[in-house]
Amino acid sequence: MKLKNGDPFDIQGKDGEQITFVMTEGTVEETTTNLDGDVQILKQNEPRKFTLQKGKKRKMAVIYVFKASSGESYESHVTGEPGGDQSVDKFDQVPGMADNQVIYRFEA
Amino acid sequence: MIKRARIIVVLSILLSNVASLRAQAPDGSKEQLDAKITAAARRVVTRVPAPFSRGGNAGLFALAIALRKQAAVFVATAEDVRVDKQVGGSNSNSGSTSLVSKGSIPSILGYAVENGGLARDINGTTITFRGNPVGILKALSKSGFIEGYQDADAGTRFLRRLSFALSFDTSRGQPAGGSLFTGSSQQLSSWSLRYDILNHRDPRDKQYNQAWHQLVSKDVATLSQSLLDLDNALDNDSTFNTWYAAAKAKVEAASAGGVSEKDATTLIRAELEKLASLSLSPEVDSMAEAYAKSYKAFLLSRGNILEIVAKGPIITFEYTNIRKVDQVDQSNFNLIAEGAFIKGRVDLTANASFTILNKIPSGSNLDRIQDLDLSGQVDIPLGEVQKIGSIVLSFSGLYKHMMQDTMMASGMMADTKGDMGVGQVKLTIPVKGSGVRIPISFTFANRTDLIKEKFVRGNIGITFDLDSIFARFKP
Repeated sequence: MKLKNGDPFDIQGKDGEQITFVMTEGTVEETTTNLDGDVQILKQNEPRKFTLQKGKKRKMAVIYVFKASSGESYESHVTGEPGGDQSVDKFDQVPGMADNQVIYRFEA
Repeated sequence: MIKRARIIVVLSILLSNVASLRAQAPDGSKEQLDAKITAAARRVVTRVPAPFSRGGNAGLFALAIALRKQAAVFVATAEDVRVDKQVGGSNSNSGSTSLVSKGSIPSILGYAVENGGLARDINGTTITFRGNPVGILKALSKSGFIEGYQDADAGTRFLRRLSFALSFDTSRGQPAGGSLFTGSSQQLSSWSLRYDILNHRDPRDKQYNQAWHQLVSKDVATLSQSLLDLDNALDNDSTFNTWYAAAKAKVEAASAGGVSEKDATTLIRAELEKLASLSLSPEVDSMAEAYAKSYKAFLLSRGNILEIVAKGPIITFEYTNIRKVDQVDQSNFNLIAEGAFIKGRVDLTANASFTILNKIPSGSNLDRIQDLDLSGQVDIPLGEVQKIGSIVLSFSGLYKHMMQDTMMASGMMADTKGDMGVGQVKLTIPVKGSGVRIPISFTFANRTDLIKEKFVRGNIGITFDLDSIFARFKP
């Protein structure tokens, strides 16, 4: 996979490439992922895998909820099989922030 | 019969950790927008790749569009109505405004200046520093306040439960009537160590995992669909895409140029204001409305969990070494319990303690145990008053059984044996959004520690809590 213009949330893959999303570190224990309407709750280090198809754009919304008012953090990775660029989202909560919402875009 | 009436002025300046528990207002979406703008500005400053990325700022854009027809204002946080913090010294000091010790303390450092004793015959000024060593060390390190709250390992979590307090009597070592803080060991009137045996007021406590999981599975799942729906609508909105392309170019240029966080925040806010003035497609409007609804539902559910957390029980043990000038030093062992009752509307705190002499004076036949204390306090938030904030009414009482007479430095015995009862009614009035609180109280007792005379004292003060300020600005 390749990051378009270096954007970790805009990903170009190959037809049939398997994509893996995983939250690896931080204080956030669970995250909500929504891949084109299919919701999965993931625990830390629990991967979500899916395959890209040529001509089919996909979007995955990921929402991180912060329990405490400050000091929360997370780190998530998106990788492709057989390799290429790696998308890393490392985030430190701004005090008072309840959540962080991101959307990954995939295209093959 | 009233023997004396005194007006005691209290000035308390509180410095405490931003990491303390703070529930979001249920309709705090505007506050969240500010936080998301700050997060975006930090990405710009740290020059991460594509700092103004559509995907990385999806929540910011969605919320900005959802709120674009509303004026952005700060929203007061629950920090203003917290009633469970103990920052000042205990009632054993010559200057104290707390009849009952509360369960929570500042996570980093608290500072209080208090004048006037509550249960003692001596009225002085006491300066108390109360804090958590782990919090202080982490706050002083480059990790700052944000990282400071993270408890990486079991050892750190254990140490975080431990806190200390140092109280200084500013009249000691001064001419009669004088009061000057020197910080000398002579002025150290007491020191204490405190350990949280049980504290369920941490939102990351395991007992709340199920509630958080429910939130993530339901409200956040709905929110994630609203987010995708709005983002899909934005893909087809040429007005939005034109705005985004221009805004992205400006923000990324600023990032490359090494912009400050303040300027980055100003720039992003200005670009979002331009977005707010645009006429977007009806589909975007419709999806934005749905997003706003699901986001508010999420904030409400999260706020409900935090309200439950804020009412969790606390049990704390505190040891205080009381350094006397004219008597033998004493040690106080205090068990503090705090919890919420009547559906969380009332906060109840109870203390049970005993005090011993650190040594038996030579030539006396005194016992080690000096007194037994029982005290309790009820805090009742009276609700929000417009332009003022949440007023808290407190009733507290202290019963002290003094087991024996007191030997003074001269060797004379003071007739102190007996029972002492102290009551207090206090009204704490905040100045909304400023961190300032004005406590007004009346204290009445059948006697003091040394003199068996009834008294009534009126207390009025001003406190300043920086937590409320930090809640609005980054540390």
